[in-house]
Amino acid sequence: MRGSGRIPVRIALYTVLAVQAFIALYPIVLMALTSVKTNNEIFTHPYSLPRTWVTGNYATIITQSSYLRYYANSVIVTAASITVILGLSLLPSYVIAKLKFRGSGLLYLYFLAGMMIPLRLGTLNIVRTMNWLSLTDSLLALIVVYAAIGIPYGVLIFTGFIREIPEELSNAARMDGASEYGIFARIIVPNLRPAIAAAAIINALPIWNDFWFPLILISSDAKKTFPLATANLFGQYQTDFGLVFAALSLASLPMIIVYLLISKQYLRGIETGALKG
Amino acid sequence: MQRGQRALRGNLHVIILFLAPTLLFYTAFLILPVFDSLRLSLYSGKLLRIDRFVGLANFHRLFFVPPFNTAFFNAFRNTLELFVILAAIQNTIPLVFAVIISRVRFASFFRVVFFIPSLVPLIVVGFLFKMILNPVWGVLDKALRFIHLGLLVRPWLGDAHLAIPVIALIGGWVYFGLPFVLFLAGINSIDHEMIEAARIDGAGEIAVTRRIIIPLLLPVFGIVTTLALIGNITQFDLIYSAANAWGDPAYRTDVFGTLFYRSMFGANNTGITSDLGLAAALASVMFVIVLVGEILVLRFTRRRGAS
Repeated sequence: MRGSGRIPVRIALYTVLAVQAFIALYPIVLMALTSVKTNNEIFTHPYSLPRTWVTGNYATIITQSSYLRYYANSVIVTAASITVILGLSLLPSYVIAKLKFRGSGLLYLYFLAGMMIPLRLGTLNIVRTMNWLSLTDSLLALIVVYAAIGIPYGVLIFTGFIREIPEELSNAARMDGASEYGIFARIIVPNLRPAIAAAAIINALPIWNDFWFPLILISSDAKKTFPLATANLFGQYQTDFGLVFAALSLASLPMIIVYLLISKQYLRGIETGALKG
Repeated sequence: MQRGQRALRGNLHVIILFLAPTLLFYTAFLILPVFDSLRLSLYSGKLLRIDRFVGLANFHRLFFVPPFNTAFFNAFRNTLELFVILAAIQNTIPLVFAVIISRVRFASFFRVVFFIPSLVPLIVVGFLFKMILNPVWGVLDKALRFIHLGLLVRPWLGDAHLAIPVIALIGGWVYFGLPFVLFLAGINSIDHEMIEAARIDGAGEIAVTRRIIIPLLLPVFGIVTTLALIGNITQFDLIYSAANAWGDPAYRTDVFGTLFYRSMFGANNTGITSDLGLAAALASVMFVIVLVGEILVLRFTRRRGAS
């Protein structure tokens, strides 16, 4: 079917696609270009390429704020949350998918329920619990919250994948005297690479970009993740457009660059998750 | 059952060891916090201090006592409006593009491009469009004037009637990628022989889309709408960044998420102080709405005949 249709139809379709691509990209391109212009040029030539490229806006942000610190915090929180999510969802998924027992179906639904209930509705109790555990204003509090949110997606993806691993593989190992732990570690997990990639990818973006929980749980500057820091910088620089756009770019471009490098795997991960759901 | 029972006895320690940590963690940090909000809604107090049991007084305040009820119903209306417009956008435009993409060359290029906006943090999206749409120096109005459409210039985010639709459009821009990928995956999983057979029977492109593709995509409409519902019931980032924590202009874009935030932490300039009971009551109402909404969506989009 690909490439079929009369030529005028095809031209119309590509025009529509090009317009949508422009709409998708232009605000981001504008943001990036504005961030390397002088304030004077931002007003006189808002649409053109910069006549003089200035990097001073970025230098100012990185030297005047602890931007690298915010970034490191975000990397730590995202990496740690995903590690916890993978570990905590792999274990029950194996039990649910392979060891039939009464209530396993119910348990599966219980884990999936978390996808339908936004944890933000439990924010009051999250704040209270973190306060009780003396975890307020710590990266650990964020990691705990994101891990809890991510478990349902992990269980959904892993259970789906583990069910497809042929029973013969585990049975053969069982005959050879392998324990359930051995089967899990040596047969199930190595067969789950695409699922692990999908679970990591699906969870990474919402954690990386989350603003709500840092806003609620983090107060000291040294513990801020970059979305929270961006909001503060925006308020601080409001009238200096070059700085504002540089701050917004710093918060968006790294993820876009990573995505462009691994877009194929990324979209496959999203699709994998979507199809299992 | 026999086999199941045996497996259970043999593997009990495995089952417990593999299940218990996750079950405890997940229950303690996701299920309990949400459900315990229902209990907190029966108490009065501040964020970290429960004062006393007050029964349904918080709900009474939320529904019947000004200024709380005005704020509540205003936020309800705005949240609903935002959800309806955004869900309408997400169930149509990404679908149209998924249908187009499934029939052209260079599909993978466009697929990669269309997903890019959803990588930008919502908070950045809100700030960015606040800049672009600014009536004094925003580039949109400048561009409109340049092409002699100055007539169309509006205070986009400052207009009481336009603010929510504009924010919904911004939401449609940033949330384009996932619905698009979901629709595309749905279309690609449709049996091509069925479509070929219909075409041989003389069905045109539009008939194929309407009679075969759309009905088979019903579950995808369900997922997209559910995601819009879950995302919108607690929407905060976009409003906060594009229209402040109280929903400028004059609370016209105040939604459940922003009202919830203010009732938790208080916001002096809006006359609300940190109010545990009120926040919990609001969270309970949001919880009920999201559950009812999900059940309704599921009922309407379940594939007929199947399952």
